[in-house]
Amino acid sequence: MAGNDYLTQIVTRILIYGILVLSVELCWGQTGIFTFGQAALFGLGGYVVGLITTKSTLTDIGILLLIAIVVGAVTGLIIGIFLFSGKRVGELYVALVTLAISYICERLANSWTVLGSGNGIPGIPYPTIFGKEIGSATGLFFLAFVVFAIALILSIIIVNSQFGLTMNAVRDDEERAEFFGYQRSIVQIAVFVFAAALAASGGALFAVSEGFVSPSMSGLALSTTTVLWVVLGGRGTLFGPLIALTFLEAVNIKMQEALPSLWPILVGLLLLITMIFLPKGLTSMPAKIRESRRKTASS
Amino acid sequence: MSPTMIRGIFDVLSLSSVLILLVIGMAIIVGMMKVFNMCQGELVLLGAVTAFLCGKYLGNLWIGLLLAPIVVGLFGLLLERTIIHRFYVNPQGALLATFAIGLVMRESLRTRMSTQSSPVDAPIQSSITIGGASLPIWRIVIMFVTLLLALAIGFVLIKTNLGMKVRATLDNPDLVSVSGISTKWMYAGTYAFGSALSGFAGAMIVPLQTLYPNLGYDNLILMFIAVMIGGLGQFAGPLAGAALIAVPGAILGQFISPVTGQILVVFLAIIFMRFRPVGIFQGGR
Repeated sequence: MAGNDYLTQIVTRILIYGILVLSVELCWGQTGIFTFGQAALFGLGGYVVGLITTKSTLTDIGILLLIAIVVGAVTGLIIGIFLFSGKRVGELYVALVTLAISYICERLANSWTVLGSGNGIPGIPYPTIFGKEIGSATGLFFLAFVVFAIALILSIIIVNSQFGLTMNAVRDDEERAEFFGYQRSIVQIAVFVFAAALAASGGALFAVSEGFVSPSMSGLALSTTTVLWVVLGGRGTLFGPLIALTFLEAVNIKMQEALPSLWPILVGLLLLITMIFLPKGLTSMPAKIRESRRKTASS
Repeated sequence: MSPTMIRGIFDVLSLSSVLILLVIGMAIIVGMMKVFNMCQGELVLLGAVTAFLCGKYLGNLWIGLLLAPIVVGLFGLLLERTIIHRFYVNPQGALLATFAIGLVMRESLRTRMSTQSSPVDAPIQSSITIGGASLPIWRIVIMFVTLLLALAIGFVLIKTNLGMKVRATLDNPDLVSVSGISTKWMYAGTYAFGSALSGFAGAMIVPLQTLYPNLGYDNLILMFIAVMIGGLGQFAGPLAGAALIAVPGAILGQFISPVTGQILVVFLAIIFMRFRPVGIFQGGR
């Protein structure tokens, strides 16, 4: 059964990263908030759960998730108000600040002994639900699946609602959205808070399912990888980035056995080629091919 | 003054001049050209690699110092003509594409290195003693080179005909191109020049650290913040910005831990940029 457990763990991890991807997609893909630091919030959720479970006896996953979500949302609110209230800032400023936040978080996690310094927090116990321990790979999978499904359904509802249209309006032209009387800053802050809560809940799940948290989970590498998944999948679609994540993580695992050092290079090249030839992401390829066929047919 | 105090002041000056040297290339590409060049750190890295290879195979780091700007400059030219020029109209795309380039360069080096990091010996190993404090000469050389380089480039940009053309191109490419100047090659040349400067910086500073794949990337955030603090659209601002974050960071680093000092400075810089997005040294709204 060991092989099967391994597969289950991988799928669980993909589901957890899926929550993080949704968070970036809602910010960047749907609202145009160019966030490069979502992993910082992911790490925040993870470290909150790591600290609570190792310092106290609290292991109920419902309460842990709730705490992570509240802490994430409050942090998101502070960053959101700082970035978006009042005068408009450029999208590149947002990218730089979120990148810097991720950088600060990784450095802090690496140097604060309370947070376990470079080792992170190991030995996070299995979570419990109604007093029963979720100790198996399958149990953790179902937990991640349920949270992911809730996150996905909420995201779909938001994107397809009237508010979702407002988000897209802000993304496409902040100034015009303001002229039409939309509260641009409120929309951005609301989306950022929701996305932060999502990312933190993903981090909380990561902590309990992997059994440890480490500085790298809040760092630049994961932040940028998440953006990469969204670019490759195509921003502005909810499912594209999820497909890209699943595909890349699946290949990643195979590649890490075969060519461990070549994989990041290939990812970089893939991103570069995508940016040059398919700026709307790999999932826009079929549409693009159809279009070029139509052009050749009509000419 | 006590030796420790001299040493302390020297360290602050040295750390600041290193950051300013690193930022000079970025001041051209990000500051003046306004390309969000996420692979700037890797251009520094490429310069460091060039110096390392020259030191290893030719046994002479001076040749490396000479070759690094040439190699990285040519690489920058190639990069601009193949990839960067596509993204002048799309800043977000430029950020992501250059990030991808940086990733490929960094990881390529990682696969080629058998150890985690390789030390590089400075061309001048000796130290001089001032007031009881022993100061490495190479660090003093870096201070002077940084100062001279910044002054020389400033002079070229402001006083010479070529510098005027560069500034004109970045200000108003359409008008320049109808005046019969090839904006295409002005952009390419400016990018290559910025790259060459970063390559040179890499070769200069690698003896102070060691050669490792994240050499440039680890400095990238600080470099970007220096440019943003100084303000885009000019050359001198980013250098002053670098001094402005390096000096307090280095001073704080002597009293509290260097990490906490640096984090504090980055944090303050972010808040400052929110309220003054055009940077310190720019008039404007």
